[in-house]
Amino acid sequence: MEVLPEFDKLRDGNEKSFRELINQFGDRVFNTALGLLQHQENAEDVTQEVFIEIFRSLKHFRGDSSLSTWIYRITVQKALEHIRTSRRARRSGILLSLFGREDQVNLTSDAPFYHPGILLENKERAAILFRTISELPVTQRTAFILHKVEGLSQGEIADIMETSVSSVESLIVRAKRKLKVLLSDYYDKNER
Amino acid sequence: MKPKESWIEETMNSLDGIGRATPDPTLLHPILQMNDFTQTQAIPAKRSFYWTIAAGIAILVSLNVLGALYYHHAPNLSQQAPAALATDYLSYLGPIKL
Repeated sequence: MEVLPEFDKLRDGNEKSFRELINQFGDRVFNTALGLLQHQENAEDVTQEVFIEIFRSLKHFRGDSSLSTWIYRITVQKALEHIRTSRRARRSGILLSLFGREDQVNLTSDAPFYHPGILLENKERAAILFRTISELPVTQRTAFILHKVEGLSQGEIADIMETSVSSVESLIVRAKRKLKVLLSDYYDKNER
Repeated sequence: MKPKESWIEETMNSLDGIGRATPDPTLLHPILQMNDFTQTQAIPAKRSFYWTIAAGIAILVSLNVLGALYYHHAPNLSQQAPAALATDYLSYLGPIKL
């Protein structure tokens, strides 16, 4: 059973407690962001934003959910904000290409995404799977990533997404069904 | 199982055994060193953000300058009688049917 930093000390801005929080949740936040964004730099940005938000919002945390659920929820929200921002930026890509680097917002570029935690023998197939995951609707993508990449239970995912367990189950089933359809198309185009 | 179905199944299972990715150990050091997280721009915004804002301001200023120049050289609209303006406006609405 994990021992969380003392919440009162966290809320008072105790640096040692906050450092413990980062040690315990840093990987989880980064891994979740990376799974959703499929881009190392953007996942790092989101990870920093999440912990800044946590520090700012600790005083207002009412304890309605567990600390873990709350942190995951912030992570998902920040990651999805990033996705929405990049889609808007892509739509106004002409301006960005004049004043910035396109690779800063190209979340799902043509380059394959290799998750560092994937077993070596699965690397190429996983890259294909991640590409198809990026084509899922946001809610299905979130549920699937939290389940398959972060290893959370459907109950935990339901708390994070503030929905029912049956809804999460439905999202994951639909995500798998859609992924198989997308993979079937990919196979017909590329693997024959 | 047919090759295609087998390929799909294997691809769907390619995340099995996935390990958790870890960030650069120094990624969160700047946050711990900050004393006041309420400061704006605790993490520097990207350069493209500033350029985008600058471009927007430049466009607004240009439009205002162009507008001022236009009105400076355009016929003196303030001399047009208000009644004439009203007539002009109403003509776009068409005849009023009672």
